[in-house]
Order: sequence, then C-alpha cells, then structure tokens
Amino acid sequence: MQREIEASGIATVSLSNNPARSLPLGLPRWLHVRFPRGSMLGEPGNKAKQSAVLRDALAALATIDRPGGRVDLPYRWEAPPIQWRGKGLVEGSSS
Amino acid sequence: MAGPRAAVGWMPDFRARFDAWWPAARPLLEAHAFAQAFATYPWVAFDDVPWTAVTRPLAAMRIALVTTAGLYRHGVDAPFMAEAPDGDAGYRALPRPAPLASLKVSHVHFNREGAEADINTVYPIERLAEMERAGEIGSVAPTHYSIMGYAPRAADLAAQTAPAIARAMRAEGVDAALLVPV
Repeated sequence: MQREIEASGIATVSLSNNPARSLPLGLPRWLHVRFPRGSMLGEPGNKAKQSAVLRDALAALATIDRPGGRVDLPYRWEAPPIQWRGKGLVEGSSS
Repeated sequence: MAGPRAAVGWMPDFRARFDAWWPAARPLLEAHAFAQAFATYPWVAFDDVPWTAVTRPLAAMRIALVTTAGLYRHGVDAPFMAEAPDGDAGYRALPRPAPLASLKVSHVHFNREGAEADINTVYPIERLAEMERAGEIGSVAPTHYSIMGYAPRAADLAAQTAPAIARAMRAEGVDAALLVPV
C-alpha cells in the first residue's frame, strides 16, 4: 500500500511497531513506535502523546532524506497491557 | 489514467506461492489457528524502495490518512468481510466530515477496545485537524481511506486497492499520506 502510493507521486510515511516485519517491505519512510498492537498513536485519550507522534511522523516527511529511512520514537506505553488472544501485549508487543 | 506504479514483478510469484499456501492454510485459518497458518505465509520482501521527493514545507502540504483498522461508516458503507479466512483487500473512503461516532471498526484481528474508546488511536483525524488549525500543515485532505489489515491476498491489495486510493488522493491534490496500521 505505502509503496504504491509513494510510486504514484505522493510522499508517504508510516508507523510500525514491528521492525522485523517492516524492514523487508522497502518502505520509503517509517517510524518505529513502541506501542502494542492496535494503538500506534499511544493510549486512548492521551491527546498530547497522539499529537506528539503525529507531529514527529509528519516532520519525518522532510527529515528522512533517503529511501527507506527510519526514525525510532522514544514514547513509552503508559497503560496496562492490551489483552489479546490470551496474552497481555506490553510495550513492543506486535502480535 | 492509471498513473505510475511501483514495480509489479513480484505479483505473479506471490500469487503462485499464495495458491500453494492456501489449501493447507485455509482450514487452519477457519479454526483461528492464525500463528500456525502464517508461519508458512509467503511474505514478500523487496530490494527496491519507491521514492517521491518532498518539495514543499509541511505548512503548505495537504495530508491524507490511511488506516488499516477496517473503519467504515455505519449505515452508509458495507463492513469489511472481517471473518473471511482470506480477509478483505478492499477499501472504504472516509470523507472528512463523516461524524466520528458513525465510524465502526470491522477489523477483528486486534483488540478493538482502544479504537472504540478513542478512534484517534488508529485514525488520528482530530489531531490532524488540530495541526491544520495551528497552521502546522497546509490542509487536511477532504477524503481519507480505510483498509482492513487482515488482507492475506497482498497482491490484490497492491494491484487494485492501492492504485485506486492513490488515484483518489491525486485527484484531491494530496501531497503526502500517513499510513497507520493497527
């Protein structure tokens, strides 16, 4: 999806919590977030953190100046683990 | 006009490997043995990276969002086929004025409680509008897009859905897109 939009002439940036899965995809620009699966912008209701992630992601449109460039965001997951298929997804859990 | 496309040479090979994977994967997927099924999924890897240079400052750019949460407008759009073992590779357009309360999450392969409590966790449209009001971006695009992240038929997504979304973005003068997976 991202590759096709980029190839059509529209600059793209994406969020990922799974670098191992993202790296082989040849994504033009991406940011690694530490949040568990299902919440790439941070905790529900945390407007300040959502805005910070969004600002950093859009800033990366300009600051990433080579194809495949990546930014690692420092923000931590500050809520209880997300329950999913019998597991508690903590910071960094992508599945 | 179809417009420029990313290299598509991977698709025939992927489709062949998908077709080889599918007969054994289908019963596993129907039994919700996802980890077992996807252990042998024909994941695609690319050597090349498409690139469109950014030529305008962010404060002059029109921005669109793509979420993979399977959002759709309740009562307007059909939900995604979230329970299908081979997923749903289609998309729904989300006009900016769509009331957020009318948006439903049809992706069932993640814990939806966060998204249902605050749609901005998967579709940060309110935060983007705040950046527009503050003059940090040029404008919020009139239309945004939702796909359903559970779409194992990746070549269908890349061959049909992605070019359709890209065409619609270009028609609305979108400069850049942020993709938000779940």
